[in-house]
Amino acid sequence: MSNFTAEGTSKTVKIKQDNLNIHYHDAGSGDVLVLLHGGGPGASAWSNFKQNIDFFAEHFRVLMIDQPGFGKSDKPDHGQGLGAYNAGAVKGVLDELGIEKAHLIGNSMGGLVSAKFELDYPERTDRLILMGPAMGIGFAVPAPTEGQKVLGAFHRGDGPTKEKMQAVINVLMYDSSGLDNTLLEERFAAATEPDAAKWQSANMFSAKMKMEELWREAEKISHKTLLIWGRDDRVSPYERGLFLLQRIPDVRMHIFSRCGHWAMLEQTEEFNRVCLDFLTGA
Amino acid sequence: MSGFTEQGTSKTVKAGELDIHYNEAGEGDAVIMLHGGGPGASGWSNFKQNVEAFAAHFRVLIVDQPGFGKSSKPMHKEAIGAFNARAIRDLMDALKIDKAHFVGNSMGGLVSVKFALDYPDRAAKLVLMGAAGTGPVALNPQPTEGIKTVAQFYRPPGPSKDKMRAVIRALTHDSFQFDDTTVEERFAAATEPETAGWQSKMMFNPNGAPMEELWRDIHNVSHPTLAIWGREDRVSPFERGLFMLHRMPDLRLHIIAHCGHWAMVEHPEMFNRLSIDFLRAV
Repeated sequence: MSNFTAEGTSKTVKIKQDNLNIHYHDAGSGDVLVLLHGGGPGASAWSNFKQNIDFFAEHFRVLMIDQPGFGKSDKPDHGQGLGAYNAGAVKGVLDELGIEKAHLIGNSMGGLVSAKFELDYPERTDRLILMGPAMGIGFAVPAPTEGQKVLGAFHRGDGPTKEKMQAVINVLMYDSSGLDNTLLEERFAAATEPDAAKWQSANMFSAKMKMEELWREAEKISHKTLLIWGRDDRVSPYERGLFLLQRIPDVRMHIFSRCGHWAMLEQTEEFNRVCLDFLTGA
Repeated sequence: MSGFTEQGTSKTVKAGELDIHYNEAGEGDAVIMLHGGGPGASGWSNFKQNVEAFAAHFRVLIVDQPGFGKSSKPMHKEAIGAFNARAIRDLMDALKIDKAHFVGNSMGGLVSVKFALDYPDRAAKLVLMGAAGTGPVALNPQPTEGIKTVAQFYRPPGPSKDKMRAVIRALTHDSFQFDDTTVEERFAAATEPETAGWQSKMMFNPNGAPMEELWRDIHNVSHPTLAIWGREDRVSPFERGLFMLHRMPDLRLHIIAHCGHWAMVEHPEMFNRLSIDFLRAV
């Protein structure tokens, strides 16, 4: 699927914020493009964006960062707002690498973190792409959404099972019938790795989870922003983007039919193209 | 604005019973561009700022639809979509064009969709800007502000440049700059006697030619379609695109802030890139 390998691009850096070790993948050269994964069980930078790295690395220096609590990065119980804490970690990585400014693409929780990064460090931000970001507000779809309920159930009750992970994948995607078991096995292994499982069940989809209500501040986002949404997103329905479309000053919104919460995986080619057009266009 | 001139690209062909005027430029797969139905509209006036970018990749045919520009102005009682789609089919037959992409604005969007319904094998992909008739309007007051303004143009005491200025203002976002030349050009085109006679009898007239409620049928359009909408479209509000998103099998909806009913005029660079890349994608 990719010329770049997880191993070949894998790097770790120690940042000032809580002395965290942050793991990331580094590929390509040019303007910096940071990719931020979502917050579901088993998520990591590589698992979210491995199908996009080849394309983007032809045009940018791509940094796919495992956010605190995920993948091979440290998993601190910090008790702070997820957006602010993770945005701080992203800034920490850029500081250590001597990078002044970056484009950001964020999926779901990564979208929230990207937007918070823009709000907290506008001078470090170039353009923003938010995919089904966890920062909208809805009018019509009941909350918690079907997808949030399925994600939240993974670590609860009798604990993780492969059936539950399959249910997670099914609810995240418009049509998961074409997948073999690779993704299921990968995500199940990642989600049940003891440190990750402990961190996830304590910090995500729990009463302890603190996510900023960033829709309140959408009008302060001062950089060009592209919202990308799947029509069939059951986690963060696209109607949540309509509010952002009216509030973010310089915004465009691209909605795919037959697409769920993972546009970068479900509509890979078109997603890549629309992102590149936006990042390098007028 | 363009190396191509109206005169240098101007052609007329007998299509069925009608003389159809069009502007042709470039080589490759055919792209047929269909203008909107407002007073003073014509193929060239709608698309002159896009011809160069498209002609670099395609054989572009910017068509004056029946009743507009330099084409025949037949009085008829048939629905506009079906009548104009048939005229385009006749034009393609006359030019021996088997298949074309369609780029349609407003009424031209409606005609593009009707063409795809009536002659599915002759249409490749569709790009629709502020399409008319393709979605019911549920949230915006009807008739829309833009439709009311456009409909006023020929009403007593008759056309004026102030009314034309109000039309252009209602069609575009406030940030769109236009000068007196634009007003003069469209005013001259709209008040040319034959055009004025046809327009005032056929368009925006309860006794004129009807327009299809195409939203009833759009689920049958399986052609890859890109719907581009201005967030501030006051003629055909973007909520129509939301309906299309749920009904058309292969649709992507792209909504642009600071943009009204004329994406191709208001944001030509953005529009060109988005559309051309969509049409060229395999």
